[in-house]
Amino acid sequence: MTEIPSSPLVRTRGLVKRYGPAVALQDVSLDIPEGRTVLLVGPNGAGKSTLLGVLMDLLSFEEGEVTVFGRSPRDEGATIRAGIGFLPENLAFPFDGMRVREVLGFLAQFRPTWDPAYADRLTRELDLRMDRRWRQLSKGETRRAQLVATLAHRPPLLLLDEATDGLDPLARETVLGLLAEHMAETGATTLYSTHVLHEAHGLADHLLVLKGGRVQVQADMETLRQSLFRVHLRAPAAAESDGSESAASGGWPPLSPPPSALVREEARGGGEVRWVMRGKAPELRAWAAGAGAEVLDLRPLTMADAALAYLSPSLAFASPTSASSSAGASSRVSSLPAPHP
Amino acid sequence: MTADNVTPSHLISVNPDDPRPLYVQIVDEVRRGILRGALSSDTALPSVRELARDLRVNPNTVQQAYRELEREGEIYIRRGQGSFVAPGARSRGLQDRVTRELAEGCLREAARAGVTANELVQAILAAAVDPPPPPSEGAEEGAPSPSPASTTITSNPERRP
Repeated sequence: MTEIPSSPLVRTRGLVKRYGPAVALQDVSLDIPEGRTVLLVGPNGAGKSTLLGVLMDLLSFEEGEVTVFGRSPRDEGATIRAGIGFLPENLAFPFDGMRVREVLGFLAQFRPTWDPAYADRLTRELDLRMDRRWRQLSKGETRRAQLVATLAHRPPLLLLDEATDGLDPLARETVLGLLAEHMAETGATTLYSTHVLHEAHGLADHLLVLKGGRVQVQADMETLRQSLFRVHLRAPAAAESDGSESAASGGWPPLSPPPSALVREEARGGGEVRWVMRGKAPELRAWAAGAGAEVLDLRPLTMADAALAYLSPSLAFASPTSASSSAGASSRVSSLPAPHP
Repeated sequence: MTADNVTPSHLISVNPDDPRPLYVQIVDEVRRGILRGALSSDTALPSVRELARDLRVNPNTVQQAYRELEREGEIYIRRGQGSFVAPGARSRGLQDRVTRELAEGCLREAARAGVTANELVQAILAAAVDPPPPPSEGAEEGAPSPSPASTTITSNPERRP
């Protein structure tokens, strides 16, 4: 986990992708180190599928640099694609009169490293009916068949777009288990795009949040655990604070967060607030002590919760009274580091 | 213990919503298994691949947990053969450590409810003298298990209307 970092398997700098006037990716700079499993999340239209398409050289881009395996998709798209297991969001296969067995055999011909024994094992575990024609498959069956095609050549890089979309809960568990096993056997680097935050966060050790085509946060889980906290605070007693302000804010605690540290306000009421905050734990505790607040709880977030914190609009920004009175407190902690530079 | 002396993965479980890192949860599960005797000396732990698959977690997470357990002398790793519970792992020191962690967890929860350490200790002593009916998974074989309704109510008092 903390070995000397090798050159990243996927690297982008200042990547810009437009569809006509619409900007899909805006100044995206990423490093995905070898062997990592990255949870890629973002709302619809955040640019997740576009990013995967650019890495596969299925989509062009307007500005910036992109390398995969140290190569440029523009110049060596075919070579790069040969090393990628790509599971597109799209379920379509052009020759859909073919049977599952024929489709897999067809795809195997383009992939020199195809492992027939592994493909057999995957089809068994995923309970695929090999004699069915592709167009007769249900959504879940199509997904499972695609998964065999994605994994069976043991590619060093997996780009998975909504891998479990359309699967029933049991198949979902099977697929996640197979992916974990695949990682153990191959050490594959994985970019796992999903809307289902809770689903894959055990598999991922790295979080990438895209929103409106921009990177919101990019960090490994260990860094996140040390720099992002859910902090439950009891505000100083109202008597000690400015009475008029307390009244103006409708009885809410007069406590205000240092703006650079607040990621999201989750709850407020009864003299308490619960915030997701950036910063080292001792710094956050020192700030709370300085502000006269009691720390009821301070704990790191799970990956799913961290993703959610960066995706959700903060309640704090909706409340005009909370932003006004923080000058004193904020100047003290404005130097809190962001989780990612 | 199974005939081939291999630990089934289901002895080890993790909760993805627990804010503790997953590797810490695996370490903790193995330690508890050792303490209650389910994992005896020289018992093989599941392979990294097997446990990663069964728990649906990153194999690096399992590896990190096993390395931590090895560093603490609670398991030993034989290249090519797997990981095994170390003889002597079930020690007073390990018990003290796990008990201490349990206590710290209880104290944190108590603080969140405004309960002092003293009040908590008194309540624990009182509850130990007059224990609640065992939860269903703790029921002895052959012993009549408590009715599902009473179990639910007793163990989840907050669900009562």
